[in-house]
Amino acid sequence: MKESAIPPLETSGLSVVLGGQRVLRDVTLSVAPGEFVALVGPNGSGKTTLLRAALGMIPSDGDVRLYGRDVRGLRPRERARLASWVPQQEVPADNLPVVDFVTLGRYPHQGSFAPSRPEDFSAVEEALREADVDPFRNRGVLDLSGGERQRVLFARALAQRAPLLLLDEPTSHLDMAHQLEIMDHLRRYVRRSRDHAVVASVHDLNLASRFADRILWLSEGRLVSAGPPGETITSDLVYRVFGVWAEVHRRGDRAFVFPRLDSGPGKDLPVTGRPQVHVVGGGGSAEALLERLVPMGYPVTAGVLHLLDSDAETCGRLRIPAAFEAPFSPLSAEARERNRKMMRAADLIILAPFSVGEGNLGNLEDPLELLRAGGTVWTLAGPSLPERDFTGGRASQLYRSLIAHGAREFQRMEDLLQAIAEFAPEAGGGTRRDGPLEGRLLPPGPVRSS
Amino acid sequence: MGGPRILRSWRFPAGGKARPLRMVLLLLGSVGTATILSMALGTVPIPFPDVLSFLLQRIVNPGALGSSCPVPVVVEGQVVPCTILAAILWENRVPEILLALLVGGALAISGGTMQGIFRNPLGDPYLLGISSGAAVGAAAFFVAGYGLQYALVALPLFAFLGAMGSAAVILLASHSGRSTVETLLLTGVALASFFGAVISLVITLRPLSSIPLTFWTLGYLSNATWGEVALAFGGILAGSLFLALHGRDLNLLQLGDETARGLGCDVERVRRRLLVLSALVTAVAVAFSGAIGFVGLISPHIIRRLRGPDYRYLLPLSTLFGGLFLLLADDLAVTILGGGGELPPGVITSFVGAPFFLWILYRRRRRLG
Repeated sequence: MKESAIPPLETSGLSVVLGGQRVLRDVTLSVAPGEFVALVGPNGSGKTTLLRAALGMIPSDGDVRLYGRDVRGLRPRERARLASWVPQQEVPADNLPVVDFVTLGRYPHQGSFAPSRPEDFSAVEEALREADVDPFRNRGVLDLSGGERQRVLFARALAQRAPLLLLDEPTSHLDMAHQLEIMDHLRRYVRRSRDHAVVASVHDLNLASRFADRILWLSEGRLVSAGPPGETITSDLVYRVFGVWAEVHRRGDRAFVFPRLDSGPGKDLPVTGRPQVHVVGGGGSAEALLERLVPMGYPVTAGVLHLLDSDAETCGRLRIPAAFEAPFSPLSAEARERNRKMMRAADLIILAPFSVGEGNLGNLEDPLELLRAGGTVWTLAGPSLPERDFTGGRASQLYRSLIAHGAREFQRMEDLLQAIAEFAPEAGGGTRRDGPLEGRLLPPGPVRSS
Repeated sequence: MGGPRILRSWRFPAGGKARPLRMVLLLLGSVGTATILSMALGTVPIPFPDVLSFLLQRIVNPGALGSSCPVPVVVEGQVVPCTILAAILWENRVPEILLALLVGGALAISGGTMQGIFRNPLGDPYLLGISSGAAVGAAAFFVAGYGLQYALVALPLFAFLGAMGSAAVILLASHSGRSTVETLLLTGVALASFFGAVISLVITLRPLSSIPLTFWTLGYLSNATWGEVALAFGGILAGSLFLALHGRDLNLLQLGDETARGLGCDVERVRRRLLVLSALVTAVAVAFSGAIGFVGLISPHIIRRLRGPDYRYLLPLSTLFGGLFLLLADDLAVTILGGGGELPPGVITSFVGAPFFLWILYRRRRRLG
C-alpha cells in the first residue's frame, strides 16, 4: 500500500490573513494515515480557519497538501474527492428529504448534468446505514432534531467517499449521547481503512481526549502544542490556551480535565501592572481567596502554612509558591524568614481570617513588622478575633495594632478583590524591595496531590 | 435557531406529494386545454367546433385551411367567412398563445433560478429589476433609431445588455458583505424604479407611436408575429434547457456556499453562469412582451408546494406552470375587456402576484420573529 504512506494532510508555514487580521500564523503539521486528530483551542483561536485553509477554501500563505497534492492546484471536484468537509453550522434553505440530501454528497463524483449511477446509489445507501439515518430517510432535513441532522451531515460526508474527513465542531449542538456517538463514528471511520484520516475541531477537551489519537492545540492562530491526549493535556497548557484552571486526572493513556468554575473573569483583566499578592492564612481560611486570586492572574504567594493543612493543599493544587512548616509544629525561624522574604517581595500583604494560637503568632507579628516598615497590609475580616484568638488576647492586641498602623480591613471578599484590582503597585508605594521572586517555591512532594 | 438566512417560509413538506411524470402530464394537458380555450376567446369569440376543425385541418390538410366551419360566426349580422376565421386563428391567436407560453415559461424558470442562486424566496426577474433593465435596453434600441428591419434580432440583444446591467448590480450587491433578503430586494426595487424612470423619460422625449408605454411596464402580448415566436422559441428554449440542467448545482447551493464549496462546487462560477443565463432568458422574453411581473415569483412557489424543493424537477415544472399561468392571465385580460380594448397581461399577473408577494413577506417576517 504505497498510498497509505502519504500523509492525508500536510501543512507547512500555513498563514492566513482575514480582514487585515492575522488569524493563522505559521502552522506546520502533518496528519498521518489512520489518525484521528482533534483540534482544540478557545473561540477565535483559528480552528475553523485552519480547517478551511486546509481545504483551500480561503486564501492562505504556505504549503498545504492533501495526500501529497498541492491543494491550490486541485480542481474543486478533485479536492472534494480527497477531503470532505462538514461545517459547524449548516442551515439548509430547503426541506429536502434526507435521502436526497445525502445524495448531494455524490456531487464531486458526478457531472453537473449526468444522472446518478448505480455506484452513487450504493454509496448513499451505505452512508445512510452507516450513520444510522436510514429510518428517517424520507423525512425533511428541516424537520429533524439537532442530533438527527448532525448524523445526516455525517452521512452526506460518508457518501462523498473522500478518505480525509474534516469537521468543524461536529459535537457542538449535540446532547451527551449523540456527542459520544459521533465521536465513536469518527474513531471507527479512521480504523476502517488505512487511507482514512479525520481532523475535527472539538470544544470539549474531554471528548477530544477520549476519542482522538492526537490533540493539536491552537492559541491565537498558532499551533502551541501537539501530542497524544495522555501526554499533552496538562493544567499548565489548559491554562495557557484556555485561561482556565483545571485539575487534570489521568486514566490509562488518556487525561481528563475538571475545570474550576471560578476561573472565568481572569482573562478580562489587564495583564500588566498587577500587584503581587502575598496571602497569610492557615486552616483553610485563605482557600477561597487564593482560588479567586490565581485565576484572575495575580502573582500570588502565601505563607506560613502548615503542610497537610487545607490552605497548603490549595497552594499545591494551584501551584502557589508558599512558605511551609511541618504539620502541627510552631513556626520555625526559617519558615518565618522565608515568609518575610516573600512578603517583602509582594506589593500587597493580605491576612486571611485564620485562627491564631501560640504556634502561629508569628503570622501576625511579621506582617505588623512589614507594615511598620512601610508595607501595605490588608485584612479580610472573618469570625471576630476573640473567637479565633487562642493566645489569651495577645493576637487581638496584635490585630488592633495592625489596624492602628493603617492596615485596611475588608468585610467582604468582593470589596477586597475590587480594591486589589484597583491597587496600583507603583502609586501605592509597595513593599517590593527584593525584586521579583526567583524561581518557584513549590511545596514538597506529598502536597502535590493533583 | 440559525442565522438570518434561514427562510422558514420555504419549509414545505419534504418530498412533495406528486410524482414528477404525473405532474408533467397534468401540466401538459392543462397547457393543451388552455391553448384551445384561448383560441376560442378574443375580440371575436370563435366557437369550439370551429377551433377544433381548424386544428384538424391544420394537421390533416393545411392546404384546405378555412374550408369549413361547423358553426358559423356572425358579427354585426354578417357571417364571417371561414378563411377569415382561420387567418385570425393562425396569424393572431396562435402566435399570441405561443408567445404567452414561452414568455411565461421563461420568466418562471429565471425566477426559479434566481430564487435558487440567492437562496431567497423573493427571487424574480421583475422584482430584482432584471426585467426593467431589459426593457430599458429594448427601448434604447427604438430610441437609437436603428432600422426596424433589424428589430427581430437586435431587440433581444439590446434587452440582454440592459438585463446584464441589472444583473451585474445585483451580483455586486449580493457579493458585498451580507446578501440578505433585504439588500437584494431593495437593490431590485431601486433598479426597477430607476429604470422605470429612464423608460418614462425616454418615451416622453421621443414618443414611439407604435409602442405604448404600458408595453414596457405591464407587458404586451397582442400582435405577436410568427417571427417573434420563432426567435423567442429558439432563445428561450435553449436557455431554459441549459438552466434546467443545473438543478443539481442549485440543490447544492441551497446548502450554503461553505458546504457547496466543500462538496466541490465552484460556487462563484455556477452562480455567475446561472445569473447570466437567466438574464438572457428574461431578456428574450422582455424584448417581445415587455416587463411582466410576478410570473417568475409565483410559479416556482406553487411547484415547490406540489412537488417539493428539488430543483431538478422544480425548474422544468415551473416552466410549464409559468407558461400556463401567463396564458390564462392573458385570456382573462381579453375576456374582461371583451369589447376590443387591450388590457396588458401584467395587470392580471400583478393582481394575483402582489398579494402573493405580500403573503410570502409576511410569512417570512412572522417565522423570523
